Amino acid sequence: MFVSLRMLTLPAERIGALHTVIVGLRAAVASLPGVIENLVTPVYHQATINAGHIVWRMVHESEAAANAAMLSPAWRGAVLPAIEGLEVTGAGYRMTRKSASTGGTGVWRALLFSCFPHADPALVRELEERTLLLAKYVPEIRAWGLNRAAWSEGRKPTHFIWEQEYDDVSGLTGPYMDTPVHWGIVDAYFDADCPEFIVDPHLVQVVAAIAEPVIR
Amino acid sequence: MADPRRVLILDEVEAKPGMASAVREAYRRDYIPGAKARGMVLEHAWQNPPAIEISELPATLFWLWSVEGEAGWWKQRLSRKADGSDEREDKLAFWQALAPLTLSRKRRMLTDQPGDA
Repeated sequence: MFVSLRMLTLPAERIGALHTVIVGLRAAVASLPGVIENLVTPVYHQATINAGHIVWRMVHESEAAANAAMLSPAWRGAVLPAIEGLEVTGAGYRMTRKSASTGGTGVWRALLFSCFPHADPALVRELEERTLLLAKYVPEIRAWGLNRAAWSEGRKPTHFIWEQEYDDVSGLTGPYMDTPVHWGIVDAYFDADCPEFIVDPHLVQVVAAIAEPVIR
Repeated sequence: MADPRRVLILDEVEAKPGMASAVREAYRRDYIPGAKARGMVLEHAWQNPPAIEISELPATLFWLWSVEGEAGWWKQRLSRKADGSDEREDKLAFWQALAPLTLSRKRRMLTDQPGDA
């Protein structure tokens, strides 16, 4: 499976059109070939960073199918007009490292981040391995995916997409932040006070309420 | 509600031979005031070799800080400057300025061990 994840930011004068844009984009995506799943929903009001207003997450059979969708007439004729004038931040990635939930989750969160160009590759691998410890030691993480970007768009490149699902947002704001695995181990790669610091401070953290599992 | 656990932050900086005084002064002048402003409490400052500075050898300087629980830890980590911007650039600038005087450094997070010592 290949995911095309985008966050859309409306210009200030169009904030009132949020739901109109969402309805229009959902309809536009319905005409795209090769889309297995499509989530278009408002960004949650809490615990987000540089996430904009709308989450748009499409799942395709493969990267080739995702590319074909973007080359289709429906992309030019329906999708691009639906998002015209919006700022787009996003990434495409193969869902290879993941664990799905058994259902019942109510909140999805993704952290998009990049490492400095000069980052030691051994530290980058260490960061990946240690990030996965969060999935093991925080039972409130009911589903997760940690994947490398095949492409990204927006102000900064994205290298990694770290997704989780929780029953509700308190799993993210409470246990996920309070676990010593986070502040005692993983955060060093994000912390300028630590010699392990390799993650660009420009993060995108997006949270959305979900009615069914997103990570599959 | 239980008291927040005490979290310790240990900086360990290995100064190049002859540079221990310069590292110590830079840390005191350019790091400690900001750290205290972020809510960190300086508990101890140690060194090795003990009690003497030997200019032919590297020296390791230790600073042990404490914060009140996870909330105190995130407060110092997510600190903001007076204008609301991220303080990470300032923190990074300090450590980068210190780097030419040092051989290596570590920062480790510590807690009490469970049970009786």
